[in-house]
Amino acid sequence: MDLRERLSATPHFQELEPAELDALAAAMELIEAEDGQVLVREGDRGDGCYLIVDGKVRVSHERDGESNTLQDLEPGALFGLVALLDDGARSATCTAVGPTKLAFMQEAAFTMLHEGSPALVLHFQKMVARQLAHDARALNASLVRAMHAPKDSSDGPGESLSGELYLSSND
Amino acid sequence: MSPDDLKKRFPVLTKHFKKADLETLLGALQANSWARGQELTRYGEDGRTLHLVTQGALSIHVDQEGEELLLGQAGPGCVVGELGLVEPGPSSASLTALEDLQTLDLTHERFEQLCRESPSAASALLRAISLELVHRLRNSSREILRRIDDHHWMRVRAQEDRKGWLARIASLVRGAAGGA
Repeated sequence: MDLRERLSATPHFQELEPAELDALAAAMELIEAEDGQVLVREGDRGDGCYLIVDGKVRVSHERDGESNTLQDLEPGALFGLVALLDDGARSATCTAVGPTKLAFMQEAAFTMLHEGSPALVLHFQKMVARQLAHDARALNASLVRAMHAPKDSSDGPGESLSGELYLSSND
Repeated sequence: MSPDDLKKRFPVLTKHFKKADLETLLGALQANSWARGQELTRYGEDGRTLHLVTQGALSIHVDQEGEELLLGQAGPGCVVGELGLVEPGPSSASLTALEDLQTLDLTHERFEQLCRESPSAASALLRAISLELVHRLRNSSREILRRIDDHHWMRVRAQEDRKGWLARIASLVRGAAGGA
């Protein structure tokens, strides 16, 4: 199955006209990733964004060799948007969980897409905004949990802190 | 309110708008008034409206397990409710009027109508909202990282405390043994 067929099978894109699907498929490149492959690394500069076609991607913060999972993303999800939109560094690390198929969109293609037909631009804008809203909800939930969590270790060293932070862990 | 007024009061939200699209947006916004203490949205309940604050102030807070966490306040020129507009779902915070409040509101339904009737106006709005969400994601991300670092630091300290405790026990045991 080629990228265009895969995109047309994604619920996100079912409202698109054939010509718009063509434009989108032309702007993207199909990539296959192995289990554990790092696709986006926190701190790097953003050069594009990814759409998960098949498989799963874990979003995490890495600190001192420890991984703190923020969320797991499923097919249809976009990631790598933050650095692309504000031109800053990657805000988290994204790793393939199991063999994963992705559609990669380079920064230039992403920008070009915003100059396409109004319907396509709107469709893509909506997709981006919805994904960001979804991510913001996931992070908000983590933060609220963290704020309600005990703040210090005054009840004794050791075990009280052995829990896995207070972030959403999907393990 | 005139399109120029809207642009002056909400420069970030209207940054990508052409003048004709501003008129369209104004037509889609509904003016609402809220009395002091009135809730616009409650944490966890269905949220689907964008509020542009034109007068007064509101508090953004989360109430969970009988505890209230104040997340912030919003006054004239502030925009709240972006998440619900884009993707209706449980509100991530409660919004309560701190004083008599006036807002210009855009419900998700009106926004969908705007998408059909004026894709360019809807696109311009989404562009501003996406950028705002990116800023917010960065802030939340930073806050979470700070907590990861704090947590890591506390764990290191806890381990050191325990080592210190074991050393004290060991010295006590040695002392006791020496005394015998």
